[in-house]
Amino acid sequence: MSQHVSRRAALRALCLGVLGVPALRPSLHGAAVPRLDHPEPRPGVDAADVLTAERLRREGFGDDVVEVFDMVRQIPELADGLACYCGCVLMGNRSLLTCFHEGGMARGCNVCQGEARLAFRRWKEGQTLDQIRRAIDARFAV
Amino acid sequence: MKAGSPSGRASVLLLAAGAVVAASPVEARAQILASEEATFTQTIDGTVLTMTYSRPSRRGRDPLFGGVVHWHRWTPGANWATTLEVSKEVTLDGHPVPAGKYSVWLDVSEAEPWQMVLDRDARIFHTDSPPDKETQIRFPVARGEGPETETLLWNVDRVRADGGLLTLQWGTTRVAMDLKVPSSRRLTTTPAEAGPILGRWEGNYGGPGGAPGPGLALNVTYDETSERVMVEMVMEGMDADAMGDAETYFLPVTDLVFTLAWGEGGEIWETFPGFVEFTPDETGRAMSLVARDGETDEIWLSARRVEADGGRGDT
Repeated sequence: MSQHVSRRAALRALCLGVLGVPALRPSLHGAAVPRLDHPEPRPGVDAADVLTAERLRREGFGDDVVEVFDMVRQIPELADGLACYCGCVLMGNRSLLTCFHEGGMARGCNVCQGEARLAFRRWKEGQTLDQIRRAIDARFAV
Repeated sequence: MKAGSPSGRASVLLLAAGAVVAASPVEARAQILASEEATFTQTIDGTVLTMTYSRPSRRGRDPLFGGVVHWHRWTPGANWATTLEVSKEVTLDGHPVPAGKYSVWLDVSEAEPWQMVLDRDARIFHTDSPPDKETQIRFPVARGEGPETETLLWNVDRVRADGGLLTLQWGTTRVAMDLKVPSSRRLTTTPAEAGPILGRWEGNYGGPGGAPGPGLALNVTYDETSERVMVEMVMEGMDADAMGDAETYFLPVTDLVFTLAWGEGGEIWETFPGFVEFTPDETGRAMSLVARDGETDEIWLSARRVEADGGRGDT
């Protein structure tokens, strides 16, 4: 038994890193949605229809929601090439970008917001659309 | 003495049974019961199994089966029928049990095998054993032997990544059913999926933008027998024997994305809620990898390929 504890400790050291490295925590995802086909981004698509910060604040949304809309405003073409795993595709939603338009669900949807935060973070790291799609599939699909 | 035969003791039990039926559940907890109620819950890979049952004790009675429990359809418990609830479809000895709550019955007989019966009606008193119905799940079970158990016990023994043994023990009788739960992830990898990531990797803890931590080396191979991607990890400054016989694996999540697991002899013990993501070159061969926290997405390990594995498993 003590040998198992020792191995477990060793493996945790390997898997979680060493001093100062944050521990792994439960995954972002929880939705039981099968893997989706991502849409092809429309060339030249822009963020003109993404709801503005003024509009969101008028509706009573806080900084965290405004922040994620600001992120999407910076990556319209990328967001237009990503499927949304919240289930809104069943209602005819085209892409993650359109979740952030009038009538989209992003104002109150953790999946839309989570995908957008992940996409923005990876975009800042310089990842390609394919890499970001894989990262999203891994976290939000079954 | 047989439970079904008229006797002073049986009369007392019938009176007591009537009292239990009449009493509300809250009031029932305020009395001493010959068969106290118990609930146990076992979670395996996200599937939750719960059993609620009253636990009779042997109290020197012999024989238990064919005596205290006469040969009939019996709820393995007492008072209200034992219930089994599963949050997802599982199998018991290979028989599908859809998610839901069931009363549990066992056809006990002198001859073997016995028969397990799961009835959709979960709230049945033990004296009202249900007749055969099309909606019941019925399958044979073997009567085995186990260590003397004074008070009837349900349990899940030998818990593994994809199930365990659902056991009933009373006296020296033990009935064990193989429980299998749906896996939340794929536990095997195809050679085509494994090919691009096989080889030797070197890197550091900590990711781009942060000060690099201790160095580490990974040797990633494919075991055709277990269909697993095996990962040998060596960390700078770590005792080479610290891992003992423990093995680490990459389990597939999606294209070029894996999760880390560990176990021994091919048996998975635990998966880590993070992701190992590989970046390919133009030929599709993975050239770099990062491991990320499942919640924060922080990179806690990064490595680059230093050597292919000689083509084995490459696509």
